[in-house]
Formats: sequence, C-alpha cells, structure tokens
Amino acid sequence: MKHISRVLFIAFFLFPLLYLGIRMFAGIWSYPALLPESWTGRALAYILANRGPILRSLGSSTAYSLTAVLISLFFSYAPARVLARRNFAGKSLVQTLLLAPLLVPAVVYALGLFPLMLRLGISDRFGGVALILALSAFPYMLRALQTGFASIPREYEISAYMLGARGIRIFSSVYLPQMLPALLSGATVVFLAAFSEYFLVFLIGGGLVSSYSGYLVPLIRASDWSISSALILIFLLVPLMLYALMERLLSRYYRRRGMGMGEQLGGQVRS
Amino acid sequence: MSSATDPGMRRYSPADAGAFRPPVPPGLRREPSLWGLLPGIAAALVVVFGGGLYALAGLLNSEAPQAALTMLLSDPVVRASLGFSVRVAAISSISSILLGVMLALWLWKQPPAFPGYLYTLPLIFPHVVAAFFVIAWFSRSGLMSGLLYQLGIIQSLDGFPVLVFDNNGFGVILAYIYKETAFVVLLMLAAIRKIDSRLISTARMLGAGRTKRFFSVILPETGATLAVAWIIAFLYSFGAFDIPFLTGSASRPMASVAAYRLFFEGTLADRPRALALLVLIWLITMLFLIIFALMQQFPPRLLRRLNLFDGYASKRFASATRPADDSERKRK
Repeated sequence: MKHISRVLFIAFFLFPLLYLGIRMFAGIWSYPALLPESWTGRALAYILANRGPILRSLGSSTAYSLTAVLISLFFSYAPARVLARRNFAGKSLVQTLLLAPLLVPAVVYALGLFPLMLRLGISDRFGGVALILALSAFPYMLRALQTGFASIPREYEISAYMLGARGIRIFSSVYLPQMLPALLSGATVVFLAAFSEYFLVFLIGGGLVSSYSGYLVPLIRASDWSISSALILIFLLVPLMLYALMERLLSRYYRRRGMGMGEQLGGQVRS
Repeated sequence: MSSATDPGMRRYSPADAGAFRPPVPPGLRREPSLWGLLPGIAAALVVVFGGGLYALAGLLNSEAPQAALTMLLSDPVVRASLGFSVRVAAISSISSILLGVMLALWLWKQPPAFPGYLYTLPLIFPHVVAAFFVIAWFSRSGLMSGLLYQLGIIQSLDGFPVLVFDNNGFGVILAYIYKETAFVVLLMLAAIRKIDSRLISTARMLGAGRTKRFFSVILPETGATLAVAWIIAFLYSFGAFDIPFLTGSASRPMASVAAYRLFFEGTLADRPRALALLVLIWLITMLFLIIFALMQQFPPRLLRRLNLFDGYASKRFASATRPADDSERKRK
C-alpha cells in the first residue's frame, strides 16, 4: 500500500514535470534509450521563431477565458446571493440543478444545440465561445460566491444602510471588498476550465477563434514531442502568472482601502 | 434567515457577545427576491436539457420518425460506441476511485512539510496534455516500452502490447485515470480531513487495525463524498471528447467521438444516427443526474436503504457535499 502510493505519487505528479523538462531539450531519443542521446535547443528556437502565432493564440485563449469568467459571474452572482441568504421550498433541488452543468458532457449540449447556434449566429465567434465556456463552468463560480456570501453577516449590509448607503454604494463598499477573495477563487477555477478546454472552442470557434490548446493539439497529433513539451510548460506558466498577479492586486487593493487581509480572507485566497 | 424568528430577538453566539444585532430596517429588503435565481436556473436548464431535447426534436422531425426511434435502440454503430463508452467510463472511474482513495490516505499521513499540493498538477493540466503523456509513455515506441526492454522483459518493441489507439480503449482509460485520480484525491482528502480525529484514535485504542479503521471509521465518513466523486468521474469519462479524440482507436470510436464524426464527417443520411447517439448519451447522463439529485435530496433514507453507510455518516452527508450555508449554520 505505502509503496504503491509512493510510486503513484511520483509517477502521477513529479515525473510528468521532470519529463517535460527533459523532453523539451531532447534531441535524438531513439527507441529503447531511457535518456536522450543528444540535447538541442530546437524547441526553444521554434518557439522564438513562431512567437507571433503562439502569443496570439495565448492572448485569444486568455481573452475568451476572462470573458467566460465575466459571463459566469452574471449567471451566478444573484443566484449565489439568494442561495446563501434565504431558505425556500425545493432549495436543495435548485442547488443540484445549478451544479448539474458540470456533469453534462459537452458533446451533448454543444453538439445538440449546434444547429441552433449556427442559425442564431452564435458559432464561429469570440462571444459565442466565451458564452458556451461560461455555460459549462459557471457552477464553480456559483459555489465560490455562495460560500462567500454565507461568510458575510447580513448586519454589515444593514449597518451600511443605516449609515445612509444605498444600492450600488452598499455593493461597492460592503460586498465587493468582502467578496473579492471568493470571487477570485471562483474566477480562477472558471478561467482554468475555459483555458484548458479544447473541444468546445474548436467546435464553436470553428477554427476562426484561435486557442492555445488548438495550437497544441496538431503538434501532439504530429508527435512533435519536444515542441509539445515546451508549449505545455508555457501553458502551466499562464495560470501561475495570473495567480501571482491576482495575489498582488488583491493585497494592494486591501492596503489602499486600509483593510488588513484578515485571517479568514487570507485563508480563502490561498485555498 | 428564517422568517419565523424575529431578527431583532435572535440569540447570539459567544463570539458576538455584547453586540447588538439590528432588525432589518424598513426600505431594505428582508431577503433577496427569488427572481435572483433566474439567470443561474436559465443557464443550467439550457445546459442540462437544451442539447438533449433539441437533438430529440430533430430526431422526431426527421423524415421517418418511426425509423429514427427504432434506430435509437437497435442501430449497431450507436449501440457499439455507447457500450464501449460505458465500459471505458466504468473501468476508469472505478480505478480512479481505488487509486485516489489510496493516495489520499497516504497524503493525509504525510508531514505538513511534504509537497502534497503537487497532486493538483493533473487538475491544472488540460485533457489534451493527459493524452500527450499517455501517447509519449505508453505507445509501443514510448518510454514504458523502452524501460521494459532495458529490463529485459520484452525483446523488441513488438513485445509491448498496443495500449494507445487500441480497440480496447486502454490509452483512453489510462489518460482518464491520470486526470480523475487527482480529482478523487482532491475530494477525498477534504473529506478525510473533516473526520473528527477522536473517532480514529478511539478506534485505535479499542484495538482496531488499519483495515478495520478504514472500513468502520474512514469509509462510513467519506462514502457519500466518494459516491459523488464516482458519479462525476463516470460521467466525465463517459461523455468527454478530447481524450478519446487524441488517444482512441479510429476504427472503434467512443460515443462522443462517434457522434461528432457522424455529425460532421458523415453524409446527410448519417444525421439521424448522430442525433440518436446524442439523445442516448443525454439519457444516460440524465439517469446519473437523477441518482445524483436523489442522493442530494434524500441522503439518509436512500443510503440507509442501500445499507451502505451507517447513520452517522449519512448525517454528515449534507455537510460533505454542499457548500457552507449561512442559514443552516445559524439555525443550529
């Protein structure tokens, strides 16, 4: 048991990174050899030479993923508030329904609705891709926001109201600062799900919306493993960089508003 | 916030001692309106029912609806790809559960300094990357074959079984196991960490060995989470496209790839077949969704009837599968 687990941990989680690092610089690596026979910077040279299309596909993926985050926010903000703030008949059924989009295979709803989307002009467009990605991933945002709302006592809102704040002011000075960590953790998951999706982008985008996974897949199919490895490592960098950026922006925001990131808030950001 | 108790009269937890909880002032809504659920419900309905119903409507509107419906049940291509998908999904989800539970138990016992968070790596990797690893490691000229050759277990690359692009779906299963094991670890680790440690130490003091502790403390406490994880893993490997598209056999496609091909690469005469396949994938998904919903709705009764978990576990079921709920917590 213990040994199998150790082997599994290494094989599943450490070895892939190591392999990508080695594979990226491997030159000749013919069949039974366990290590490359020569080393080369070919993959790096390829990436430098093709930095235009690579950056464009990265930019496109980042853009539609961020748009999908915004759309999923629209789908989940109000429902999360209702679910966190009140009880009603059939609540758990509604919660299950709102979780279900994560379970329905993309093929069913995207391919099933594809003729309709063609007719409505949703397909082959940036906005259509973002919309479909948001539809399939918004429950992640919903759960994060629901937990966030549940952690803010209603009294904060009431106090703000008593002090004269109304509508948007209550939102911007009570809810937004408190909800930011939950919102960002939901956004991270939705972003990652959208960023790594291949099929939906390729189906709805119809080749007109470029994507990083769409750039990577032909290289994998052509068995160009050095370049694929390098591109996969770049793929890992994007979420890491966004994460670092987010953390920095968040802490600056709280500093400027003179709010320490409390234990609870900090914990939520990290998780 | 239940309307039965007057908000001004509520008792306080010790943490709020001395604080005054104001009543909701007139002019501020006491509770958010139920209309707020609308955007979420609309989006969920589109995803859950949209594609399936639209495909069904397309099937019924075809020239010969009768023939289309019999096709739903008897077309050999449809049946074969569907059966194959169910098999692949069952094997990969059950293996992921077993491996995931094992790994989660092991990670749980590691010291805090251990880089256990590395297990999230396959969750960050897209599915196409999991497919890449499987092709690079398990194809006949891949790394694993080379290793066996060096160890003298096989004499040439012909001795290595065809594991990728094969008709048995091994490559697809391996890729799914890679992705889903990490997912099971994620849910399982969270569930194990919620177990009251006194339960485990009591069991140990009473002389329960490792196996006994697992089956009488850990499994009852986490079984509900595992059941949910299994449904999610099963449905994922049943219906997803990326991995079978990249590592699956060309001559024996899984249902999702077959539907895609019939849709885009087939002739117009193949269209009803594509729709029939989509409808069946949808119906199987709905079946699992209903089980999922029933488990969320009536956990104690259902689980007790199945006699899988004892009462203590089912009481905890709600907290393991639902996000923290303000109103429920306050009611206690």
